[in-house]
Amino acid sequence: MNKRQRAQSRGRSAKSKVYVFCMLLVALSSLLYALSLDAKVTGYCSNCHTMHNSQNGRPVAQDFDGSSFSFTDTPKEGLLIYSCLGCHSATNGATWQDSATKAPIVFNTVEPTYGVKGLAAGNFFYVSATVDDTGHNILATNPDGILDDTPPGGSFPSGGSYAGRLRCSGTRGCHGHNGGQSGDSAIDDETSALKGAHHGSDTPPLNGDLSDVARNYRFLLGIAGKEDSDWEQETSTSHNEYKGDTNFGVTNTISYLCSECHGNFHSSDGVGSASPWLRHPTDILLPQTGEYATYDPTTTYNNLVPVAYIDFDNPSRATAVVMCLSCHRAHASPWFKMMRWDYKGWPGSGTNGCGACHTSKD
Amino acid sequence: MKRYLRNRGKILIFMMLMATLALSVFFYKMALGFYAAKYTESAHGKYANRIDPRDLGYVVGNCVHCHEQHASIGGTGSSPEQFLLFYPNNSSSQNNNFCFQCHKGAGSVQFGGITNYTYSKNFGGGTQTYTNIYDAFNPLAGTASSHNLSDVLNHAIKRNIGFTSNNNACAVCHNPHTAQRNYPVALSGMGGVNTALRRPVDYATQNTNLWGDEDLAHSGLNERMIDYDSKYISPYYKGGLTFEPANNLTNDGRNLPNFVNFCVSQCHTSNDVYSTERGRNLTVIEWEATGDQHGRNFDPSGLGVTVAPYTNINFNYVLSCTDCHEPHGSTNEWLLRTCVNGKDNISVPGPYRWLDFCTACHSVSEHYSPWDSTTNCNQSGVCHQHGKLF
Repeated sequence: MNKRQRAQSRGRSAKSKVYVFCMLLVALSSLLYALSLDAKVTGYCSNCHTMHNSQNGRPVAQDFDGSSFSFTDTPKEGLLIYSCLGCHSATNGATWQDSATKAPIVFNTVEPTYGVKGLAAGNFFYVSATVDDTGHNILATNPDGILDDTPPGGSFPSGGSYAGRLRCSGTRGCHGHNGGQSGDSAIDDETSALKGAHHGSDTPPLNGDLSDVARNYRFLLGIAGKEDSDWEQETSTSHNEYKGDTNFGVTNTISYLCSECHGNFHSSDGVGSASPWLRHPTDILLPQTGEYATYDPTTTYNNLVPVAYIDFDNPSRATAVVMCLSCHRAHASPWFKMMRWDYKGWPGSGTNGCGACHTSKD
Repeated sequence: MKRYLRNRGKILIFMMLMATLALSVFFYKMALGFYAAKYTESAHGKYANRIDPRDLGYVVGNCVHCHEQHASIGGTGSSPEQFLLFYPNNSSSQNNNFCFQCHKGAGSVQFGGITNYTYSKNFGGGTQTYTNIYDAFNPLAGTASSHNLSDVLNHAIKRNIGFTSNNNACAVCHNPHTAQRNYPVALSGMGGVNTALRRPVDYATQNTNLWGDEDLAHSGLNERMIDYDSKYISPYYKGGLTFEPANNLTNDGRNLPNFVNFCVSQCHTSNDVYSTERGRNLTVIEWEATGDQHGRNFDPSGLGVTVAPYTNINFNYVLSCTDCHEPHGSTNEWLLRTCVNGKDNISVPGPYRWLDFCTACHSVSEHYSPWDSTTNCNQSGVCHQHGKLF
């Protein structure tokens, strides 16, 4: 082997090492990425459960009334320490993820100081502490003064009466078995409606699975989507991807979930089938012509006005879909009717969120 | 020199960036070609204030004053309507049009109501007649007249310029999202004036392009009367000391949209404009050199015997449609104004009995008699009308 051949051999060897190193990096990254998306609960059982609701002669379970926690002798179903809201709440404004359980916080008892007024769905703080028409009224103490328990534009998916307050899950809720999907049977109890979900794997892809609550976007039964690993605590590097379609009958879209209670806002009869629309349409393609042409959410993501995609794994401008969450937060927002921006105050002090799509209405 | 040579790369990049910036501005102007009017500068954006939403705390100008996104507001559901309107569009209805829910007298849902006087009063200084748009379009029986909204929309559809039966007839002339309050006359800052007009022909492709807000340099089009013809002279405002439309000394049409282009370009340009009122197609308006003498056709005879400010018989005065006609409706026939060239309370007492009207600008001293208030000036099409001795 001459000098030149030896040099070539050394070069090939070095290249091989770099190649192997890169492959390892990719594999490791993929593994870590997958692990980071798997929201299966980990950690001590006692973070969430109490076997006997008794520790040193005192109860462990705690009630949460929307402002503070208090110990209760009444044990909770599933041997849980908290209710849904209790576990997913914090008594300060800075916590967006529980340090022990890693649960996303949807209710700060103090106005949230992170993200855009909370995580992706907003924050129940706004419907609890300020007024009753800025979010879904899940607190027993704070019904909507006008609507009471009646969802505007429809009825509960179980088809039952409106009697009873909206809850996180079950018959009168959004998460878990609420009976909103054909083939699903509603389970009235909040805890039972979500049974097993927190211990299941929600590693992507999540395309909607009626048999396993965990295999759905945000435990919303039958709904597909791609969850942001930090639930949009920040959106500059990553964000949710929502499932949309151009057919009201497709049942795994995020807007279909909303229509389970607000059906008139997501049906041909209620919305129309083409312009001129009767109500603001959802699950239609964001037009690519006229004033809409200049809004391209694939290149300039606007957290204020997100869109869904027919193929949320491969977002493209041509398949961008208007959805309920383009304008509303799912839980609550600081603004009237859970708007993502201060619509009521525009023009003036408010924000022209409409202008993101309706660019000529500025 | 050394420093220059050392930095010439950076200088070159900087110059290229500056050139790109300049070109982008140039191409932007070329690409758009007009000022895209803003909703927040429009009359609706500034003043729309429907009572129900207002009571719920929506601010003035909010979309909700016309559009209800879900046909459900404050817990009260309503029947969903086209374009998410809070009331049926009734696109070509003369008396139940959506726009009249605010633009009418009694029963207007606009907080405090809306007053819209006639052109004669606002821009000519005349005596008040109609005080709202509904009344102008729904004149009481008699000699009164108005644009027929069904005819307007049907013609616009026929022109194949983007309109369908779903469009509101008012939208043929106005873009509700950009139409500006035009009274009192205010300069736009682009050489024109604040205007409520958008040409029908611009609906499909340039819907935010207002008509009359830009001068020739900004627009490239003759959006103002002065740009249409330098021989335009404004008629007197009532009192005879100032001129229309701003009641000041400006009289060359720089503060008046080019209504000739606006009215003629898509509508009164051919003889296929049907009038329900007349039961026939309307006469073509020909304003060029071979057409009417009120337009560019010059009559050097002086037989018109015009009065001030039209007294130079060697000058071919060119008029605007609005110098004689109301845009919406009038107590006179043919939408003839009640105040013309400073002459107020003009009445046309019967068909074609125009003496009171014509003498606002003409002396009849040279006219063949008879010429009194009972005279039919048209004489079954033999004498005065558009296309003949006009």
